[in-house]
Amino acid sequence: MADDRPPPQPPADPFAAWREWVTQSEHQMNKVFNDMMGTEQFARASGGWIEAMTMFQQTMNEGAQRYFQAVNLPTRNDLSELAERLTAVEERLLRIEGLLAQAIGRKGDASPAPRPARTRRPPSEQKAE
Amino acid sequence: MTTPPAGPAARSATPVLDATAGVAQSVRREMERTFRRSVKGLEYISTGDPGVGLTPKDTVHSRGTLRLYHYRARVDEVYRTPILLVMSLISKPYILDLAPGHSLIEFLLDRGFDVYMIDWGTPRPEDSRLRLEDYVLDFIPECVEVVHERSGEPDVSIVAYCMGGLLGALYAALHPDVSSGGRLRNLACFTTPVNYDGMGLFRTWTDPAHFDVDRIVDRLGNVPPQMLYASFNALRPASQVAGRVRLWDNLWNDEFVTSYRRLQRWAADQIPFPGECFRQTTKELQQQNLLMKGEFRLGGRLVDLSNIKVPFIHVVAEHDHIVPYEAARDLVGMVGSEDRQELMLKGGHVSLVAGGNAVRRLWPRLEGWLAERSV
Repeated sequence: MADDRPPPQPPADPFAAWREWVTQSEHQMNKVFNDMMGTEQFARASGGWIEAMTMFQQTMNEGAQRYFQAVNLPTRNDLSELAERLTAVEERLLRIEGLLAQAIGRKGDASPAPRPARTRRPPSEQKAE
Repeated sequence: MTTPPAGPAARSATPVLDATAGVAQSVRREMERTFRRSVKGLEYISTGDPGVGLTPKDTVHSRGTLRLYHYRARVDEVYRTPILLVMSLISKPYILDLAPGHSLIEFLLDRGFDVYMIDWGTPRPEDSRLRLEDYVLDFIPECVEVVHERSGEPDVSIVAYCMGGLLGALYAALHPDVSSGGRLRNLACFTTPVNYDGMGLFRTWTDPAHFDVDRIVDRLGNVPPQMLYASFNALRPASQVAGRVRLWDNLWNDEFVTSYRRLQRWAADQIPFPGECFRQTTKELQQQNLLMKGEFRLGGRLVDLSNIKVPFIHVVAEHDHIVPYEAARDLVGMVGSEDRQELMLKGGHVSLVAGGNAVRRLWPRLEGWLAERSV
């Protein structure tokens, strides 16, 4: 006699259902937020917020700069200029170092590590052999 | 010894008993996990960030904040053509070297590739003047020459991720390849945007009617990382909360927690975007979509992606919310290579290159593609 019972179901797992609910809710919420953030109103509001934030940041930067000048301390701009000059000196030194290395014949081999052979073949060719 | 149930009454009772036993079993399992969560939760709070970018390497060239790394070989025989990894300007490069066993770089080294990487570093205030021309026409060619000098090989494969893919494609379009006396042999891009009309919410948010990029750059210089981080998070606002819930759910699982922490650390570890470069990409690419229109110029030269003739692969992610497929799909059609392909893999923008998904899907495909073209 044929067994007419339904196929066995996996045991119920309320925690798996909860995890599925978290995933579904995440997708739905993201969609709702994305729809809202894709509007012109949101773009305008976010533009306004960025405008206010950058204005605030600029005011703070200028205030800090004036303060440091008043107390005779280097400002961020002074340090940036110094860093730029140091970088230029560093680059020039590196170029000189490179030229020296070439001149004494160490071109392209500054590493003490042994160089592996550059003869590897792709697996497809290895199989064919 | 147990006797199998018989008769209609026993048969009707079995599913109920099975379901009850199943629920009891899952409750017991969750109780055990809850106990382990308490212990592991304390560990989570008390331990520092896991180490990242640990694959041994040498810095073989530096300029400003740029560092060119050469990773130390892990095998005795490597493919002839070295690989140069070109990374994005707005995130740290260790996404490709998260941890031993979870590092694309380590994987490539183990499979016999000679690997170099350009790390752009963290832009300093004085770097706000850098434009795409500096990266594409100066820094990348210089690094390619260093790779050539060190390796002694005439050619190099570029593998580039996200905005690094854009830099790689622009470099390839504006420099001769190895068949014309240049250095480029192969180009592999991952999730690279070219059609900015397809950039979804980013496109809306940077509409020139509401988004004054000049004021931002003029006032701030470099664009602060917090601004970039907030905009990426805003693409999927509920995922932050859901991610925390999943972390709590998996606190008992060391592997999950470690992987979560590494990826979270990388996601939050944004760097400033050089101001002039941000102005240029926002105006000319994001707002005017000039690259797609064939009108984009760098250093006075028109960028024509059909000049790219080297073997080319573009790997895109099926569920990429940062660079949607609509923004990336045109790239393969725009390059002029005979040997070109687009490969769509399951996953998102980050899981395409890092994590378990990448280990199974992208990495072996990349190895196979490069191996055939690196001898």
